[in-house]
Amino acid sequence: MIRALTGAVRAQFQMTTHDLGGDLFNLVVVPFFALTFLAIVQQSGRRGLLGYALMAPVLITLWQMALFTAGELVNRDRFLGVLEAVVAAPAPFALVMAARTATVTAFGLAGFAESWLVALVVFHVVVPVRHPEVLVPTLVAAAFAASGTALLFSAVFALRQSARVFQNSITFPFYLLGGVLVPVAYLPGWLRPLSRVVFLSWSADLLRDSIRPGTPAGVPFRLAVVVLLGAAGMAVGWLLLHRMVEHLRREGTLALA
Amino acid sequence: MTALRVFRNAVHLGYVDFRYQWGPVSWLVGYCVRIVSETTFYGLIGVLLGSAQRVEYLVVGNSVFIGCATTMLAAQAITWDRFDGTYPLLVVAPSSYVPAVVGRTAVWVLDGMATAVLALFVVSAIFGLRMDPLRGAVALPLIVLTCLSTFCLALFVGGMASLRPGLRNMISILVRMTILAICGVNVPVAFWPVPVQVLAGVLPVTHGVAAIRLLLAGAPAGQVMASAGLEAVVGAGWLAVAVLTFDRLTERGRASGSIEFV
Repeated sequence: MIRALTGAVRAQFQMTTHDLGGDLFNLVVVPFFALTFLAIVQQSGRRGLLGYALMAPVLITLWQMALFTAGELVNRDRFLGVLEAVVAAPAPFALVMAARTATVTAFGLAGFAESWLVALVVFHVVVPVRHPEVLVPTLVAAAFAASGTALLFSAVFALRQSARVFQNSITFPFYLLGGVLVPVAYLPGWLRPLSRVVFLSWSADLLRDSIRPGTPAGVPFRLAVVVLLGAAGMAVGWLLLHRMVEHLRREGTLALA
Repeated sequence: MTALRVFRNAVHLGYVDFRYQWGPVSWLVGYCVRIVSETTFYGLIGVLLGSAQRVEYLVVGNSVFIGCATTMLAAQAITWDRFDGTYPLLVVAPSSYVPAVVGRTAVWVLDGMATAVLALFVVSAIFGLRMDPLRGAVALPLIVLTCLSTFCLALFVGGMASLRPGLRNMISILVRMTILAICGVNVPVAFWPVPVQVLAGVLPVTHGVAAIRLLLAGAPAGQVMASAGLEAVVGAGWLAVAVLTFDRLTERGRASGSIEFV
């Protein structure tokens, strides 16, 4: 089990680092988001909100890595003709895919450094992190939740090719619901309960708290919610992938799917 | 006449491309929800900043931008002939390559116009922005103009991307994100250093969105027309560059026999 996990992580790491224009494309877009958000806040003179503009691209990158890169892994294996080999290997397919999606999504954390650099180099702004003990676990929990969500995307996109048409459509609705830049409190009341089941909203609140002067409240509980939401996505994705493979094996149509 | 016939057939092919991606339901439920969310996302930043003026600025800018971003999909669509294997046939055909490529990708500029208009009116209503109906109606041709000038840039970008079709998405998105950042969509162009302002001045959207803002603010018609004129000049410039690029690319492919190897 451990060997399968480490092997999957190592293989995916090599594949991703050899495909900078593909897998890591979302990291190229981060500085533009950071530039735009920081410019809006800077131009308005509300320097106290610069931290909000700084944190938003980090979550956007994690989401995009999950949606556009990690979420495409099964389909890409199918396209490359290696899906049969991965499924036929003795290691559990869902476990291998979970490790690979987590590896790809983890690259999204580089968005944090990029965003910070844009603030420093272009706007000469350094936003102090007042609570690194909140920031670091939140980034890790958000990356875990994003990879759990990615496994779910991976299963859905593999099972239903028609769902891929909505791939581009589920970016900004989730940035809005997840309050990645503007806190959920600014949304209409009827939308707020929905945002509570999106891991982005809990992560965004925690990230903003990590740069505020006051002591953040209820951090362990909020971190646990982020992890639980990610675990829920991962569990559903795992189940769907397992069922998909079982079905295709039974029907003998894996290569034809 | 041949060019017109080629253009008409290519427009039909573009429509088929579009319908392959979107049906009426998926466009309304999928794409429209996304564009309204995107524009609302930026409008909400204005609410966070506590300024009604900023809300209006961001809603207007991003409504126009979303239409232009949709239009930029034409750049990716230009490379599809490479994947379909039809590019060499288009190059060796006796008709010019330009009407074929413009026709096939024209559907994205129509999509962009519809998207911008929808975003402007729906999101303005969401934020309770009051828009004079007459000015709103006059804004429509300016939106059309801005999308058309963006289409001209998309033709050039698509032509260049067809040299490296694998990078088409990255190239097109980087151009879009540059426009989002510096072309007066979210902050006035004057916010940026002079070299960036110069770059913004030769990109589409900058003058188009300025014209729409002037119109909605009730500025004299002369000022609006001056900005609109600049947008038209920028679009015409990119169209000329795009046509020259297509000619050079096809000629180079013919001369070196490399049409199929790019």
